[in-house]
Amino acid sequence: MFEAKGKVEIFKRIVEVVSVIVNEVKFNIKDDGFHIKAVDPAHVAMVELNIAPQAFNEYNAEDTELGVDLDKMESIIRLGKGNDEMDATYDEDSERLVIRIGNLVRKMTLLDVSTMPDLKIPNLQFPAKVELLADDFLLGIRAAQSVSDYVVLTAEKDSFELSAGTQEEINQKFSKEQLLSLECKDKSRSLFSLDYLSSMMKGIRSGEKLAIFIGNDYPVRIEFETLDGNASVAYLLAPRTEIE
Amino acid sequence: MVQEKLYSVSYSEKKRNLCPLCKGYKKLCGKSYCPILVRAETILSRDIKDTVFGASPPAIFVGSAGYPKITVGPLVPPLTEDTEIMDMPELWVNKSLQEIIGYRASLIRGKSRVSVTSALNPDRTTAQIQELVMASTPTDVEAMFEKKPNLSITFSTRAPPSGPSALLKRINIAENPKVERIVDKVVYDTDMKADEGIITLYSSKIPQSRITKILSSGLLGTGKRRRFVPTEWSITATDDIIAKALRREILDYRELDHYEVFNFSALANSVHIILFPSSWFFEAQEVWVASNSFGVDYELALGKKGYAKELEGAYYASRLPVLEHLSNIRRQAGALVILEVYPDWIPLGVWRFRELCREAFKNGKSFDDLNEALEALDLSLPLNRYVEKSTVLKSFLTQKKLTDYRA
Repeated sequence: MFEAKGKVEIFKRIVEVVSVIVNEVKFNIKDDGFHIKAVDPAHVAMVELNIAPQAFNEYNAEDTELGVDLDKMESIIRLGKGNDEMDATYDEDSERLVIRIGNLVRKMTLLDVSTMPDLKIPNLQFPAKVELLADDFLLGIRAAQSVSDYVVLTAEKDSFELSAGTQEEINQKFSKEQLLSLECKDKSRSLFSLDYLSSMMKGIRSGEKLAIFIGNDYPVRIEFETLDGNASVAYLLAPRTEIE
Repeated sequence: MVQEKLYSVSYSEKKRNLCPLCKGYKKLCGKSYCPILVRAETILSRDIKDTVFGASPPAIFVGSAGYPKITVGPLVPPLTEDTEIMDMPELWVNKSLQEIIGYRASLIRGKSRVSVTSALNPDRTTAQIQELVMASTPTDVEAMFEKKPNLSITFSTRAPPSGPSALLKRINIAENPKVERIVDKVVYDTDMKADEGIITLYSSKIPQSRITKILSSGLLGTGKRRRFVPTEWSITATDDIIAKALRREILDYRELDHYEVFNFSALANSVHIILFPSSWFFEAQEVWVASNSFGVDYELALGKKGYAKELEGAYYASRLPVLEHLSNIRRQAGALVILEVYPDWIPLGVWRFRELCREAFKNGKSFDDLNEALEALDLSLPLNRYVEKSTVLKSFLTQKKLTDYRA
């Protein structure tokens, strides 16, 4: 059983955050909120999204699993504005998700969740954590894309650095004071695909505060809160190795 | 809805595909005449009158100039026998350049100026054109022109060359067109989206060249959204829409467990394909052997988010056959496709890459070793030139997976 009322914005944000990784996803709906975990087809990137019931005006749910085609969902919510009220109900008899925006009713067929196993999030220990504004990081990623297809992220005791390119080079260095926070035990340096990173950046909005966890030749974890603090998102991306 | 403008032809794509020597600035090669044009024009029949009767393959051409006010019209040869092949690139891969130019020169193109949205409320002429396009076999047509068609051949970026043309006065379909039930069903279903219509026709084994024409003539899509789609946009839209559906399918298949290499050459072009034991990725490199120049576009497992900016039509025309092959063998794989263009090439349209790839997939070699597989690609320039340009190869060799870190 599942019924929720809230702003169209909530569903817009779900699609925005998750569709940069994958188009078909399982919504794990529980009385403590929405939980989504998804991995891209190459098992290189993962997204974890949790939305608290407080994000909605009304929320009523028992354990339900819904297989959602995000392209289809996007085509529905595109019909509403961010502030419009939206009502989503799971109709158990027809096994469809019923979405109401104003007097518009859209009944959406769902995907078979039996073929969508629960994902295990790798258990990772990160030696470094950096907090900064999304806008600063976005700028660096965008600049890096103009010179290379991968970027190097380096955290040291008192700095965080983003660099890319060999002939044409980009470098963006933050001192500890230019960051919201920096914790780094040992120098940590890893390479990441800009195709993936820039895709993830499309799920992040200007003004959001990012916590970036890195290690040495190790995945990166990018965490942030959204929907007025009622939702938390984490992206995980596997590194590239050095080219011989 | 098909975002038809997404698939328009840019200036750079046009320029790249015009002439291998002069890139469209006629006679830059120093000759006083263009040998390509002359060779083509000698084939043209000299006795075309202002009325032509013949069996249209069926075929139409929708121009993009002046969009959304465009020209549409039927292609009608002055012949009634064996005309189907004239507009069916699926059958051309083993034909000579001369034969293909011959087919195209035989087709006389009528031009009628209409707005793209008139597909919804066709006048008599456009209604006849739409009826003609639905036909499954060559259909007798009488086309009357304002004046005698001009004797010329024009080359285009994505579409096959087109022959003599003139403003269309009137068209009469002289027999009842035969229409497959599925075509009828999709065309009359005004609740069906254009992309669903394309997929339905494709899975019902309607040849792709016909699906492209049906889309082009504004017969697909929901209710009021139907419109004429310029032939060149329609070609790439069809390639892309079918490929997206196939991509979703193959993402569920097991990964290939070795390398596979495929080669084929014809029509002064060659294709060289390597499949990798990997999840889906795709890269196409278009290589102009004479000028040593490369164009490269790629997508990783996330799929293509934007438009293939360097190769445009050629990217989508070569990606589709790769996905078709993977769907046939029920495997997922990464793919690098190299499209080589030789100096004696003339512009025939992007179908050549699609059909060369389809032909290549009939015969493959398997390898366990990447270097051996790369050598077997048998390329014209030194291998490292291609390797340097390749993003997917770098990514294949260096990208780790999250599963490598499972605790």
